[in-house]
Amino acid sequence: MPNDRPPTAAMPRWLERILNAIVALVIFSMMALIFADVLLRYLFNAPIAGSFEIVQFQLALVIFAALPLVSACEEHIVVSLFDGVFRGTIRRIQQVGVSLVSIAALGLVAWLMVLQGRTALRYDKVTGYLELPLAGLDFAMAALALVALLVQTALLWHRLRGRSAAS
Amino acid sequence: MIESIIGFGALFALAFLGVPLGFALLIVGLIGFAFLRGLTPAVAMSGQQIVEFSTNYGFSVLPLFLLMGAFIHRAQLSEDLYTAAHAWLGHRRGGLAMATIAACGAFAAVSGSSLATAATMGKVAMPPMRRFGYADSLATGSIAAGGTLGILIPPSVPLVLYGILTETDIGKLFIAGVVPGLLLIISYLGAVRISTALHPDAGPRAQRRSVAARWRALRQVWAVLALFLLVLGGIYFSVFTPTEAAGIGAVGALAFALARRRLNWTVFLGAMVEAGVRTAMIFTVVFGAMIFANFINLAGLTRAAVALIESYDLSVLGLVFALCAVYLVLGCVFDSMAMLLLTVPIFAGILEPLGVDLIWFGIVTIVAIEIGLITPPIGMNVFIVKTVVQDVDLRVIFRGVWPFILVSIAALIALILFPGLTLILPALM
Repeated sequence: MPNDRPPTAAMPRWLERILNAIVALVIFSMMALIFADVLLRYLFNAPIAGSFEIVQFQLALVIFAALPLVSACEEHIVVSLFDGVFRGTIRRIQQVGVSLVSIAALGLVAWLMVLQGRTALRYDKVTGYLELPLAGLDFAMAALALVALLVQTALLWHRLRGRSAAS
Repeated sequence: MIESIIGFGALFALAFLGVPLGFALLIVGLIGFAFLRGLTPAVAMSGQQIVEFSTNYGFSVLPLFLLMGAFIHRAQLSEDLYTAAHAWLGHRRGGLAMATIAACGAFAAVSGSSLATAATMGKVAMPPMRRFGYADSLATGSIAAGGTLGILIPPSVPLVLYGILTETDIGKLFIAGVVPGLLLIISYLGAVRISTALHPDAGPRAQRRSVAARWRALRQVWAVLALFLLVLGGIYFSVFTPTEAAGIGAVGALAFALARRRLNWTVFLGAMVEAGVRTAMIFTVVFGAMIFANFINLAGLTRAAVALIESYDLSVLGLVFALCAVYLVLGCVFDSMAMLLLTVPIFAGILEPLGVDLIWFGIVTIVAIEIGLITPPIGMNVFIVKTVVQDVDLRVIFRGVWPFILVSIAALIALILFPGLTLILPALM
């Protein structure tokens, strides 16, 4: 699915399309669900049961499904105080260093989510009303963080080969 | 105490070297916490923070308002807004600059971003001001300053973020932003008046429009006003929660863009992906900021700061003034979003035990940060205007924003001295 976001070489087209589709679908359904909930509550006095819990899951999914897209276009929020201070070889070393730390951080997030998922699995944690399994969500978040890690690694690979990925 | 200083040192080192802020906060916060309490509690705390913040129903207000803004942005209504403001204000001296401020305020009422406001209005407002012979400094200054209204007038993304970071009521924050937002608009209009009184050639009058033409222009944009009133009124009268208001606002903005025939499949999809991507960008830093704040609290910096302030018997007012001064100075070099995410969890931790109203402090913080968007040497809004109007020198734009900086500092002082301005509306909810 094409859209008006900048192109990236950090992930294959099909992956970008899948992630775009997930993000768009989840955020749209979140909007639609909340709108319908309010409408039904006021017009027919019949709110959608459990919509609260669905929105909770949707929020987590939007954040983590968009994470690889943020990494791919290098859109993470940075404190750009010394932009342009580094040049030449030093700049390359800095960029590679930043990539490595980012990869480590995403690995950390994925690992934290796996641990959360294992705890949730052990105690069989589910949401209060719809009994949605929290472990499933945690593992999905871990998997998406892992995708972001791979994207970040691909960026580093492009960088080491001396090409700009955001072209 | 010493651990927090090392922590801040490590954080700044990583962040300044270009590591994304969220990642730097996460790594330093987790390692610091592990150093004080051991690895297992640190890992458990960090994981819980991430899960808790990404599954908090109330925080879905953020993607939904971002979505509303993305649809509004694509509805391309800035031209019509400007035309309407022009019809009503253009015949006054400096009237086109006033129209720019008013149109920015209206755009801000349905969009939560300063940069988007400055960028869209810049494209629309600059050509007519040129045509009527406005001085470049006044023209560009009014766009840069008007753009800052985007982050105060609700729905505002930074206000939502402040609410998330401090766990204050986002609905109350929005309502609290209304009077200060109006105060800033009036101050900016005053700044235009003063500038044109001093330099009458800077802003000549345009033709007076007939009353019928004025109403015709306003009819083009009434839906924007209606959407704003629906969203804010719904929150004010507790008809729906901020999250529900955001959902309704997003649907309204979508309907608006559809009615204006500005959406095709590509644009529609792009708006949704953009909102999702922005959400991920912000939440990455929110996770890190909360984990880092937990480490800093554990290390005792917050307690030490509170004790220090109490031992010196510093007045709360003096403290808030000092913190605002910090924001104004930091704002000269720091990105506003980064500054907010970095400071708010820590400042709020210090101020809450001292009995400071966090709603009031939130508005004060946002106004202080907003001023940072237009102060040299790094004023993001000024840079945005520069990209829109490339043939004007940066120094000219900075010269143009000075009057606006002065009046907004005056407004900031008024908001600090008279908390009632901020707190009256939320108190009536």
